Amino acid sequence: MILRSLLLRQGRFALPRSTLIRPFRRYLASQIEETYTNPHQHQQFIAGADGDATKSQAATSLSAESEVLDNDPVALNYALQQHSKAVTGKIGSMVEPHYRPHELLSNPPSPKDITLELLMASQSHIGHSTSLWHPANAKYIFGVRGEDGHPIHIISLDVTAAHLRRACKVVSGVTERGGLVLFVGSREGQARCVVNAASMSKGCHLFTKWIPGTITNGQQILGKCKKKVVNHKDEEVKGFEDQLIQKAAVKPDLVVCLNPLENYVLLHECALNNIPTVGIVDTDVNPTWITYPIPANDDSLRCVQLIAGVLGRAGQEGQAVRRELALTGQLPARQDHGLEPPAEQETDERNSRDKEHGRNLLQAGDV
Amino acid sequence: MITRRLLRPASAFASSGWTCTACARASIISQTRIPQQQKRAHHVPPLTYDETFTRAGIPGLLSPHGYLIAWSDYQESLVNKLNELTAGEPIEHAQTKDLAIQFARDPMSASLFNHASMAHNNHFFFSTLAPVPLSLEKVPSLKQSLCNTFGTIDTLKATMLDTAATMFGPGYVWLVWARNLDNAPVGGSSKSRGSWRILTTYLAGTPYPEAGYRQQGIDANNQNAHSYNDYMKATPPVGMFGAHSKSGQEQAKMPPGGTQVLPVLCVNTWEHVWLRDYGINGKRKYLADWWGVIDWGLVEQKTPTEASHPVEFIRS
Repeated sequence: MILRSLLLRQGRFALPRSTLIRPFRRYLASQIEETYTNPHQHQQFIAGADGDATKSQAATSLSAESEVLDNDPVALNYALQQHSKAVTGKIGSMVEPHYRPHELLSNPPSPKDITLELLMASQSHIGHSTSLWHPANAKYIFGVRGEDGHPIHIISLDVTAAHLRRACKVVSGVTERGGLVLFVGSREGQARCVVNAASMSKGCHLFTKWIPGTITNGQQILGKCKKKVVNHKDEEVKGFEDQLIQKAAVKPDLVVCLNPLENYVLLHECALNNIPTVGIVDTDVNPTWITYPIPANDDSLRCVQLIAGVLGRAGQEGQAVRRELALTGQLPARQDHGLEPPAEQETDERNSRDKEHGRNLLQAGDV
Repeated sequence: MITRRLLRPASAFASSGWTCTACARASIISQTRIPQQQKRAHHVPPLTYDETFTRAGIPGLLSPHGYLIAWSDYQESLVNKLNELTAGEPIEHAQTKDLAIQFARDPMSASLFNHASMAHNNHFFFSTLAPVPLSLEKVPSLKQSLCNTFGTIDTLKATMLDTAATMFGPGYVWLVWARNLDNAPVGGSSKSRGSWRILTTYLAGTPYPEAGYRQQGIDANNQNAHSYNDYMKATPPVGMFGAHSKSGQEQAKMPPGGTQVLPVLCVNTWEHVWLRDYGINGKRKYLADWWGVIDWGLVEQKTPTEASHPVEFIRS
């Protein structure tokens, strides 16, 4: 829901004029007014969350980036090729900005680029046949179109935009507070956008079948997964291995599902475990399965990649905010992990024991 | 014959189902309207100093009317033709260089190649000119690099201008940085893998070796079959298999003798550029004036890093 700012109520000239330079993604867009900002957005929801709750030890430095040799022929060739492309690639005529499919994956739009024109161009207003609809979606539907006895429902794009912006706020809010987002999209062609979105949000991805019981029976299915402890700067902290053996696999704090019809088991498990879900709700999908539905077309790959890209960007923005806050000492991340700080004299013994036994733990995600 | 297809059927323009008998007798052509280009993919690219040039011409080279002919009007006609040729097709958003490379070997798309390559070359020519050009003395790294290949700057100037003056017919003369054909580094250092070269392209030929079949570097009217074959195939075929064999050369994406080439400077010798300001006999004077208005700072921006590093002199 978009609330009008008080400024607008005073008169339409109270708002400053928008700048004439429009970025490419808003080239054909209609103007939007200010959106609602939550005055409680900085509230800490976990009691006792403060800067002293986690004890972070000295972290090992990250591996240095590979050095590019000055006289490496491959590097020289690549540099010449890139320079040539930059210098001569665009000479000749000015080509108008246009849609390029790979850009949805290589450079997805961010929440502020959501416009009705973009949603319509991505075919997100196209619903299913009217005979296949779920009546609970009536409030998302604009109308019926189509001839020759095959009418389809059209989804209201302003409703789609509003719900998508809300979902972006949810995703960025979760990542701001150190939550884990799981992106799921098991249809063909959705793998790449799911992986992109998860890596931008520093969450998890799934593009194959959801194994029933992964959350409800997690200790069995994910029992052998590797777990690690990270500090506020996302650097791994050693010393918790013994405590982690007993710990169950982490459950996601938010699940984003791009094809809810095929993943109803996943959504049911999330509901049983109080995990909120975000999902693309087509006209034939039951919207009650999902906490934050996004009414859109789940059959168009362009639409799905757009929504996944936008949600991934929202997660990225949340991660950036969290990193900034962590560097200044404010830690909004949840602190109810129940871990004890490891005793310091046992650290060396444990390190030497690890080297002797050479434990070989499975990586998370192996089945 | 290339026919231009109507973008909308004539019936769409009828405002009502009923037309009077007089209108029904009227010719179908007067009833149909070909809509104007609603969304043009290609536009004339903006030059950095376009405003100055439109007002005062290129100081020392072209008058305002000469600039209008050579750039404003001519580039617009090229861009319009490009839009016409690519409208409604998947290639309508392709850059001119990509169009030239894609259609270099397609004689059915010769017009498209010509206009794309000409638009590219013309823009390249004007992108090295400035109202207050930077002298080559102020860019010592580039000057040193050029001297390493040509000996002195006067030699470079003489070679380029004489080549351009003796070309019979319109075209371009390019100064390019080209990698050596053999991959093995000369003299043991991997930095000296290329040198400066001067290329000619007649009419709308392109300097890029990926479109080498349309480089048009020689005047075919002055050649016989042997010399033409020698020009087209720089290396004779070797062996039965592999990249250097006859079949390998035919299948290669890049024409034989092609290597990576980066143009940094060119002079446009088409008559419509200099005819108005210099007269029919003024080609040499035009070329001499052009040398004085090159902005070597802009040329240096196009030069690759490996070229402006001091390179040891290569004897080829």
